[in-house]
Amino acid sequence: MKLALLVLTLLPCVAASAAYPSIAFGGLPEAIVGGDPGGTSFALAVSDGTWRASITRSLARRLDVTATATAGDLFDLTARVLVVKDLLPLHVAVDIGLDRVSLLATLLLGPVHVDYGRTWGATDARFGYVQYAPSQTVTILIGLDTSDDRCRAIVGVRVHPARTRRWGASLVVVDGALRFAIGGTRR
Amino acid sequence: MRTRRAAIFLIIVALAALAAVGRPLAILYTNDLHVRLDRLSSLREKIERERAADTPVLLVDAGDAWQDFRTPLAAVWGADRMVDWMNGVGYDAMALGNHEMYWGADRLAELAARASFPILCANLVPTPGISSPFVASAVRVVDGLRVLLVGLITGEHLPYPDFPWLRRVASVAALRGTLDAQTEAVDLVVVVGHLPTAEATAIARAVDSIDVFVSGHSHEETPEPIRAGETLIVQAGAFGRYLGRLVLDVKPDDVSLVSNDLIPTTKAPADVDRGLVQLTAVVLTLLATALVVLL
Repeated sequence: MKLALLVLTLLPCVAASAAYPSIAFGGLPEAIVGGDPGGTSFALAVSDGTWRASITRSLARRLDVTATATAGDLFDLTARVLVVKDLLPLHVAVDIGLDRVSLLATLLLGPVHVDYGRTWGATDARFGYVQYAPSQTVTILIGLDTSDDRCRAIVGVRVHPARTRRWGASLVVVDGALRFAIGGTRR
Repeated sequence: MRTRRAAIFLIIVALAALAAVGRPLAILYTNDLHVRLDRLSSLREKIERERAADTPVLLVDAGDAWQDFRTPLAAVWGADRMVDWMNGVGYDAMALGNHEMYWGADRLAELAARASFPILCANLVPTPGISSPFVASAVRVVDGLRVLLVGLITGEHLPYPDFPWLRRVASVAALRGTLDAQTEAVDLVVVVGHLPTAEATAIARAVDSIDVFVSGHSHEETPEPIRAGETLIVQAGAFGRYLGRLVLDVKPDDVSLVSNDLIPTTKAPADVDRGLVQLTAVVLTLLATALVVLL
């Protein structure tokens, strides 16, 4: 049943046009939405023998829906609503999932993004990262994630070999575990 | 017979004299205004004074006019007022600066649509099929002189993540491509580049058909233009402290410098009440989200 729901959700997404953003930091959330209704982004992450695939569809300028499949759960759905947009330098978004709610804030400071947020529900977590894009092809990330009363360091790098940021690959180290992801935007 | 020869000789001399007479042009330039609203009335007065004089005027800005993180108020407010002011004083073109891009793609598109002048950038190329709020070049006709204006932007501090559909190409290649694509003859080539004078010098040495390079980003003052081959490179400091005025004598195959001045401006109080409301909203929202996350 879950597999059927996943396929039904994914099929219309595959027939999509452009999308932004092309996020490939292995599922780390940001208060950013596609902003281009009809656009679709894809991401596939692997870590410690598990995998996570997601497709994000922009349904409206402030609303994205993401379908996610993981090794343990073949269907998960999240809606991201951008509550505050371009209160420069601030964006605030709310993620509403099947078993959790997240509040996300992103400060857009040119080549630097400062992200912080909190998740309530199946896993309670607080997180914050700083992303810096020194060039067109590279973004580096450093941050902290606290969940289950543990504080974990996050370090990551994302590259865009095609010299536009519509596609990319990232490597994130979370508490010593490697997470590799590829993803981008289909046009 | 002698009368006829004398007439032909006189005509030739007159034509040669006409060809040798240049046409004056004053290029007024600003850069890195960074929403300094308190300088705008003084700048307007200086610009209007120059327009009232006999010399035809071309007015350009080399970018970073609409945003500034260094002053919290300017970071959240004032871009609309800056665009309206620039429309009012009649800018001919503006280079895209990295700070303009800090507004994000949607807001930048709104501001560019509000501007009555083109926003120029030749070395950020959008993915095919994506509409961009800026163009590589524009031709302005000033008192019969056809001026090609080309925009460039530095690679420093660009908000790459917010514009994933843009590809940055090398300035020299972008400039050469734009000049090659220009099929109609022009009298003057002016590059309006949001990049430092050192970078402008290197570009001018590589591309020899640039007459004037109005630069920015590095907040340098050039009381005397920097010469790179035949190119004159200028910059007017920052924050609207000066209005740059470069007066040229434009002949068919020669452009010569008449004068270059950095005209000082003065400050005057600016009404920022609406901006303070917006700044308060940003601070309160930041605090609210921080509290929700931390508590």
